[in-house]
Amino acid sequence: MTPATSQRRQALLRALVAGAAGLTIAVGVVGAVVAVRDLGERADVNSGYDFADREIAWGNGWTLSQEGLYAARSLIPPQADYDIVMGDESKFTDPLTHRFAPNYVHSFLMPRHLRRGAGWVVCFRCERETLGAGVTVLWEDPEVGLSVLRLPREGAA
Amino acid sequence: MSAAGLLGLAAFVAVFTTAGLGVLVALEGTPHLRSVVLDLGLAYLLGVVSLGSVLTLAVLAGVPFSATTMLVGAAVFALGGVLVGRARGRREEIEGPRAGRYGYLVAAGLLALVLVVVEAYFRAGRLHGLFGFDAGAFWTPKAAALHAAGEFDEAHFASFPAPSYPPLVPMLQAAFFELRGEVDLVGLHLVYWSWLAGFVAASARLLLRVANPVLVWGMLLLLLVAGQAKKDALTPQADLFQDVVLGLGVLFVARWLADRRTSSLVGALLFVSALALVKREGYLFAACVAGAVLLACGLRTRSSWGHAALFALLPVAVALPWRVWFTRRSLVGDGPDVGVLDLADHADRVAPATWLVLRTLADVDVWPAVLVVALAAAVGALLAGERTLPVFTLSLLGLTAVGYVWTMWAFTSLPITQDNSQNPITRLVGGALVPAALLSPILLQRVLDATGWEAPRAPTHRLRVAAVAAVAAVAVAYPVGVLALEGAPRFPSRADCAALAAPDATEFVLVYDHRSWLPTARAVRDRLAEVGFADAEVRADGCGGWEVVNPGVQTLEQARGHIEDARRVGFEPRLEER
Repeated sequence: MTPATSQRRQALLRALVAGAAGLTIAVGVVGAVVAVRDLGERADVNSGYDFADREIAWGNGWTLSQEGLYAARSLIPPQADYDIVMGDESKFTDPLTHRFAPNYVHSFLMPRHLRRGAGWVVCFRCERETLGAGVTVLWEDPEVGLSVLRLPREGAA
Repeated sequence: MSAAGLLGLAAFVAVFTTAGLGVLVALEGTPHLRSVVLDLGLAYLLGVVSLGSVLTLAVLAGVPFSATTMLVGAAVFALGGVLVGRARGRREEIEGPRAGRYGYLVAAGLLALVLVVVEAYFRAGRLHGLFGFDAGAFWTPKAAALHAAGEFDEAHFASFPAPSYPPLVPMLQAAFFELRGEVDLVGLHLVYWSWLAGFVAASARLLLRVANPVLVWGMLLLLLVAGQAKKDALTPQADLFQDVVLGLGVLFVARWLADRRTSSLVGALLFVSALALVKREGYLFAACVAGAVLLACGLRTRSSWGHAALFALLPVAVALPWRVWFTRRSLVGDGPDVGVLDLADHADRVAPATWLVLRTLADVDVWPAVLVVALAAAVGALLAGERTLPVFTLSLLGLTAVGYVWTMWAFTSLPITQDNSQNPITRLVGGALVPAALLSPILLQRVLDATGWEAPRAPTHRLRVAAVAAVAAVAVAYPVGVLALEGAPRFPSRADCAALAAPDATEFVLVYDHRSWLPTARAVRDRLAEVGFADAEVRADGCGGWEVVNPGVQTLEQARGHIEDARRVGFEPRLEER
């Protein structure tokens, strides 16, 4: 390699480093301005939530009732098992409710154990007559169709 | 986040940093006291992966999970590390490449921006609710179950989605809950912030020894401002943590490729083997690191195969107890939808999967410019006569890209789309791009070194002092400015829902009592009804508790009468903000 070629190669490589560093810094600086703005907006939105909206978070809206969730947490003892009974899918306007409400409630009611057939029931527009006789309604919001029930089942925790 | 949440976070960071300092001292020898501050970020994340992994394995072996277990573990790591470190002697302090006068100022400016962005992440995370679906459906409930039961609760895990997903992240979340004293899903976001901040500090600590500060701070800023980083840092799942662990592991691999010291290899193995406990993709990434090590070190060398085998097999060994645990309990496995033998039946997915992976890797909304810079750096280093590190970088990029294509191909239930609610590809590509980004400053420095470039003029002492002062001023100015514009930060608490109304308020509600539990609130209402307050009602107070109110009381005059009557029968009603 001649000295001239070597110099050209060195210049080319230095230009490559300068280009890569320049691109990194340019995108980084512009991105920093955007990031501080975006994260600041996020902080403002977060600050505007009330306590329950922040706590219910990903379940807001499609889980039908914040009060119903708190009622379930308040009425079902922490050591108890419970069941979630969903009504027919056609009863829900939000497609998330039928599909994911059990996931949400399971998470919200931790450390209570979700168990099919348990004596405590969170009922999302369910057909109560299918649960058998002697169902006690502990909390209910008939408008949204959410209730917390107690069944007189043998062995219910 | 409440003050108690901040204390919980401080305890979490302190416990894992203590453990990690022990690991770092064992790896590198006893540091000079003045350099310990610069070690803290790396020590923290070394502690998180090493103590976190050991805790996970210990709990799987039947050791009860508790704050005591964590504290004992941290103490053992710290004391063991100090003993090993003493035997190793004083650490060799390495000074990295220096920037010239102008470069120093540019680096200082970039560092100031990095600090401001990290502070902005703190602001955004402080009061963030849990909005990620997977985070709410199984990551955090698993942690809550572990916190409540002190063990991996089979009944809970069996009823969560993705029951067999690796357990390190829930273990770390549960560690925070344990030290915090309760399940705090809002405060948890600051644990993720601490991982992000620790990652920046740890990466800087490793990179500044081998690369120009302009290149280092520029790249760290670029990573911090990426759209995907902003999403992952505020979603308590495992994506951010996986990128952090893989990124730091790869930096240790790069160090080992350069110095071939056992300590660097052990550091790399600590991070890479933890990957298998983070996410199921961890095996894939560990295999990619192993393949890249093999290609970089040479297929014909016997030791290359041995080292590659270490990177491939140690993660499998570390994750084995977890696999035994969930297999024995018949929990749903985490393998792909289609086995190797049936892949050919889905060959029509290969082309769209490849296109999806390539365009996501290059997507400026995900990790902007990273792919271009990393490829330029690796190709430049090859042209400059370097071999090992650029081959490692390109191999890792290539192998992970192939791994992503296989993932999109074999998980046939995933639609081929960038929509995050249906396909995780935008979250996955950080596994290729974050390591490549971190390797870029080293590669670019090697190119500069090969061209014989040296910083033209060293910064004067006065300039250094001024730059440090300016960086500190900017770092302080951002939060001070926010406080000046928006007032003191709020620390929401349950008491917010029991705020007294102003004396001249026209809108208020008469509250007889607040109770944490619905049955006790109902008992209060029943007692009120017995003594004639038939209009008393129980309703949710908006903060997770219950209030006994009289919604019929509309005017101050009515309220005064009610309050007097209620006091006569032993109640102390209050007028509260509506």
